[in-house]
Amino acid sequence: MNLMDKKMLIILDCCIGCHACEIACRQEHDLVYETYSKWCRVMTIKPRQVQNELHLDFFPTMCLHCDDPLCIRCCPVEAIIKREDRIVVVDNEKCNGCGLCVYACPHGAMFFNEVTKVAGKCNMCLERLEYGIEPSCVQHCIGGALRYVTQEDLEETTKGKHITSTGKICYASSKWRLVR
Amino acid sequence: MLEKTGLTWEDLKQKGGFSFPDVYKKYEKDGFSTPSKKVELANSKMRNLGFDPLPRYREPDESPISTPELAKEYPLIITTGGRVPMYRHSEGRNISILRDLMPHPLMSINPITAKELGIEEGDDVVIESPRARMEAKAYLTIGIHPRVVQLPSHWPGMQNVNLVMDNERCAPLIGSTQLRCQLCRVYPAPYQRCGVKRKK
Repeated sequence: MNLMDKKMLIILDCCIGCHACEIACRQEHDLVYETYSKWCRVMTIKPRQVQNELHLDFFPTMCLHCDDPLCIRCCPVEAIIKREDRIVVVDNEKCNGCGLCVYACPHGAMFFNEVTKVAGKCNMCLERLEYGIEPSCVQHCIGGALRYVTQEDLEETTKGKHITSTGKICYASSKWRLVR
Repeated sequence: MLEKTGLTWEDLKQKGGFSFPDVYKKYEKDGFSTPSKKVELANSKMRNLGFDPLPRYREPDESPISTPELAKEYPLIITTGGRVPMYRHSEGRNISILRDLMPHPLMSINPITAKELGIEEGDDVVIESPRARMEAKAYLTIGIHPRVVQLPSHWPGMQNVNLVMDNERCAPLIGSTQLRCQLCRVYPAPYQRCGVKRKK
């Protein structure tokens, strides 16, 4: 099974808010503090009362690798491309650092790297996939919330859960209905 | 040292190491390591030393019930020791990508109490106990009781929670200090750091 054809599955029930994916991502891609880039972030939805129950949720966010990415449409030098395996990547050589894509992305997944002066975002750890290992966030996820699975496994795992998905990423939750 | 292993020094050098085999259910043969060799719900060692053998509830030295006069002046109860995932005890605070996740110590406080005290999310607050003061940033959450504030431990300088904690009244037998249930009062800091604007 080719690693490139697998999909990222994010099961929100399993996320414990340890931020391990965030740290793993920043270590993998050298996103030191000075770059002001956080390709993978864990959002904390604070404790709130829903029908007399307290709920606290964590939400790992990263590039969704949209089916029709706005960042590609706005890029003036065509530095962002959608590969055949549906991974959206930024070509560092072509990028002129205009920063339009940072404003275009509706999910806040694109970041302007203040050190290298080019745009950057989650590329599904392309080097790792080519080497034959799964993305860094998936490897370091403690709770098993981030998974890199085949389409069949994904359908089996998310049976009976609320899901929302793009071509490459699928969010699943048994508690909340997901709207995108 | 090698007597228990049954090896000579030469054997050990050749083998390179030795580990005792894991033995399960040791208690079935030897019993537990208590004077009576049984599970002791009432601790006989404690009884021999003249202490209560059972863990009984005792009202804390400082609380709204045991010191009602002090509680009028210091109405909130401190608890501490809540852990955050990015730091281990006092380690890791100089690693920038970890510090980025939690740059300041956050004091958890219920929104009801915070509204009474005029504290908003992210405000610098001062926590004052009968002993000293410390600083933190407010984190409003309904996951905490309105009369309790949770303070993070292991921060340096004026953010050190040990400043407000009592280190004189210790547990009589083991000498551990009280890290929970102390009284305090909380108010917004007279100045706000990091350019956070206070709404009037």
